[in-house]
Amino acid sequence: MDMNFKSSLMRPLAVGVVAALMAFGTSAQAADLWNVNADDSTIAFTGKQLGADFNGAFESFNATIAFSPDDLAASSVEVLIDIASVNTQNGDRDSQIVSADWFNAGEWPTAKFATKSFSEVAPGSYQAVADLTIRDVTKEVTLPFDLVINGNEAEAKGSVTIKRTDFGVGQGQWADVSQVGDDVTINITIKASK
Amino acid sequence: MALRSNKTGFGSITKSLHWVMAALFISVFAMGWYMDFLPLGMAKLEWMSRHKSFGVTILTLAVLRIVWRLSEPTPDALGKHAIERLAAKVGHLGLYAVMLAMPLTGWMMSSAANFPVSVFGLFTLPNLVAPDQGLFEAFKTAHFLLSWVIVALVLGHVAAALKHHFIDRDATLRRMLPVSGNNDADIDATGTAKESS
Repeated sequence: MDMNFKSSLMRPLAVGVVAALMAFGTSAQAADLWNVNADDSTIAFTGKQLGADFNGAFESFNATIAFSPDDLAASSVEVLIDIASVNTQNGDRDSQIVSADWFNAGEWPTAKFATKSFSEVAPGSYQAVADLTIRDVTKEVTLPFDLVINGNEAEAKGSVTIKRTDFGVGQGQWADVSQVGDDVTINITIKASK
Repeated sequence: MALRSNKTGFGSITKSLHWVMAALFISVFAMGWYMDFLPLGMAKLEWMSRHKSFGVTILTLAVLRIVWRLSEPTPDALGKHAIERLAAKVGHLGLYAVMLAMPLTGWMMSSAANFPVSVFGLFTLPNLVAPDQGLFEAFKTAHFLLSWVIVALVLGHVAAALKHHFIDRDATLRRMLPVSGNNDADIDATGTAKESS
């Protein structure tokens, strides 16, 4: 009687726990792994110098992507950007960018973008909350992006504007933002396949 | 003073353009050399900004000036020898050419360096050429060489004006001065100033 009572109480509970565990287990494995097609992907940026916009890009980066639109909780993206691969189509400026006053690539050769959560804003439109680390500064940024998935191919495009001085990019006299603007817009295009 | 020039004197528009551009020429030339000697830093960037903005101002005024010149009579040259008048013609054509060529090579140099030109922070000019290191070096050299061509042309221009004034004693210089002895009411055909003015 005692046992029967216990088991009759425990059974639905146990079933529920197992079901929940299974569901969780399934979802944890459901975020698809994607391989970035480096040739078609860009991490570009637009800065302002002497009042005029200029464009550049980091040509070398590594991205680890686990993403499923139907399981954002289990999705994650980590991007490591090689600072020395910067190209603004001006050799003098590129060598400045990696120098100690700016990114100091000698000391901090990579920047890191690591997501903490995703949310869906509208169908095909998402937001990633991520930690962005440049030099020795980590700050949370929110990157809105549009995502198109066609079978095994995916393309994501997003843009976020950050302030370079938040990350200590521009030391000493360069902390003045009158000639080299504070706002830098990062434009990403990532093409990947699974 | 008349706005338009006539066969003997310059109008106020041409005179204004002449002297404003003369001042801008000197300013931009000085800024160009000064900023070139500065070490890379905020000051250098600030002077580069100004140099570019003033350069674009010269380009704009040069276009207006050429259009204006073609739309009005040009006072006759007062040189007594054909060779003098020819030299004046060549010199003036050269000055008009560098008014355009100097800013344009600067603009293209900036474009080739992927360093677009903002005009006093108000607006940004489109890039004339795609970024290219080789092109940048070529335009930089052209910009530098032209600066010396301008020095030669301006020195010749000034020397000729002084020669007309002090040796020929004609109205060539006076008729371009902002206030005195400036138009046909004040100067007769031989370039002699009338007493009343």
